[in-house]
Amino acid sequence: MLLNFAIVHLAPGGPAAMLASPKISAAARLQIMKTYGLDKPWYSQFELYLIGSLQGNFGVSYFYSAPVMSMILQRLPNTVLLMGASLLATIIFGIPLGIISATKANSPVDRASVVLSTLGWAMPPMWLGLILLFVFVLYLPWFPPGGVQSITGGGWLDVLWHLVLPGFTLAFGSLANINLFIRSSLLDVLKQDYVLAARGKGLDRRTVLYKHALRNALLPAVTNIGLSIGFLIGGAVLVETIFTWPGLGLLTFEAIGHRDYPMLLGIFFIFSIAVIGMNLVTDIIYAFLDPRISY
Amino acid sequence: MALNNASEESTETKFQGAWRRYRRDTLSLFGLAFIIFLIVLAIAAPLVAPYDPTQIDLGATFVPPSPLHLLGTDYLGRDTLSRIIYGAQIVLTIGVTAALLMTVVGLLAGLVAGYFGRYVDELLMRITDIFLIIPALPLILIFVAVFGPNVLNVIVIIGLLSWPPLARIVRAETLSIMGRDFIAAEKTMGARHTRTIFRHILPNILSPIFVYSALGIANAILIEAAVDFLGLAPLSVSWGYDLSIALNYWVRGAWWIAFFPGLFILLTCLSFFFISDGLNEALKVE
Repeated sequence: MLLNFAIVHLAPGGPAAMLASPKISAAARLQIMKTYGLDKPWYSQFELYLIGSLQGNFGVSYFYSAPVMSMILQRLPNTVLLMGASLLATIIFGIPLGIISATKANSPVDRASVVLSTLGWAMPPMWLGLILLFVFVLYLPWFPPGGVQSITGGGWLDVLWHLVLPGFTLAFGSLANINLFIRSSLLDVLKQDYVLAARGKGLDRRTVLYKHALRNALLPAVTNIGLSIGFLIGGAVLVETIFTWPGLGLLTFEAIGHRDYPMLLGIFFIFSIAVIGMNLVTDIIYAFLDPRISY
Repeated sequence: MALNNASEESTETKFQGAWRRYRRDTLSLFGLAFIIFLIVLAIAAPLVAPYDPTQIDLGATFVPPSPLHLLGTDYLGRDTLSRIIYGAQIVLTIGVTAALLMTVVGLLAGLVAGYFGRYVDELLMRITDIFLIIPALPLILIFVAVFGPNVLNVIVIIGLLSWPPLARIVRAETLSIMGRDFIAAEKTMGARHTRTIFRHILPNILSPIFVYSALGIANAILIEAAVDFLGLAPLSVSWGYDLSIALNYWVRGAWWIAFFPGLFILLTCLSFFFISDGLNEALKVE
């Protein structure tokens, strides 16, 4: 049991993943080099790219004629803001909703939350985004159509105002992931003997739920949040494109349009680092939360 | 009464039993009905579509839903309803074939890892982990951009990059079967690996594979729509492509170009989700 835990939770973000993802972007890079007929033999190009990317040098963008790295760094804060806000919103709404769903299984609240989550899973984010554009920008001009702040500027409230629609679109898609995960995880835990034992001791429902059951149910959810970052990044590409949010996702879209391969690979490299980093963080958090694991 | 029921159940075939359990859930039935409807629509597209999906009519651009164009027209005057009907062909083709490829790869990886164990398992599962956490959509976009956006490439790339969850499921199921006595007996009798795998393990792990593959179709459709939307559409008639048109012209207020194709994506994915759910119930051993 313990071993199983260790294997599963050490795996994401371990050294193997760390080593391999630059290789993948380099391999894709290789394909491009060939199609463009660059004359150096592949292994020295591979070596150059590997060394270059480790030093944070991804070459020069075909379209902007600027170093890829500086373009990425310029856009990165916006994407971090958007994804951070969505992740926070998903956690704030998803976890309580999952808890309510599990404790009141099959109640109207539970059903509504399951329906909502299923919809979020099956709904293309670009569809939701477009509908929000039509309703809340075109017909009811409550929110700005895009960008990160007004041309005139206007402080953090202005940024927050711009963040509402894209943040909501991104969060809605990943709500299912966290909400349904907590729900099934908590339902499993509530069925276990030790919960029954705690109730049998005469502890009231609330104490058992928060002190005993929830702690164990939230553990796998921590890992799941780490794994959902990859999904969130995919969503960010779509959402940023819809709301012209000037982050890495929009940069990806532009790079696709211009067939700007160094840019695409540079962005992908950063995305991979982010995912691996986040999984490392969730693994460490997990180790803190679970007394059975020590590194 | 109860006795009557029991005797009825004992005579029904495996398939009838599964169908009886599947039927219980209204949503699963709805899902199946919608997908059958969609397949018929796709096959009969030339007969039912009111217009050619690529027919340009510059005299009727951005027409809102009306008797002549039930779901409106886009910036070139192309009929949205006809585009949705023809789009079903490409969406279903890509979704189903990509999911099929995903199933084959995931099944092989999971079976081999679970059956041979040790370093084979270790190696395959590390590879699986890497593909599991890497952001799939950006990687798919890069590959499609590099190899060129045609239908075959999109299918192969989606199929080859979405198998890790299935491989994990298959591996876990295989491991649980491997622990049973009849596999040990089979091995003692000196059966070949292929015989043990295909005659004894595979039939026992089919249900979770069906359940996940149905979800895989929905996943492939969502990814394909995203690829189309971001400007890498292999063909100019697909639901995701229409969404990208809608984004380009949203200021014109042509909501119908976005709403209806997107609604079809949503309904199709929901249907496969409910079918997967129904299969899960139907294939349970009672």
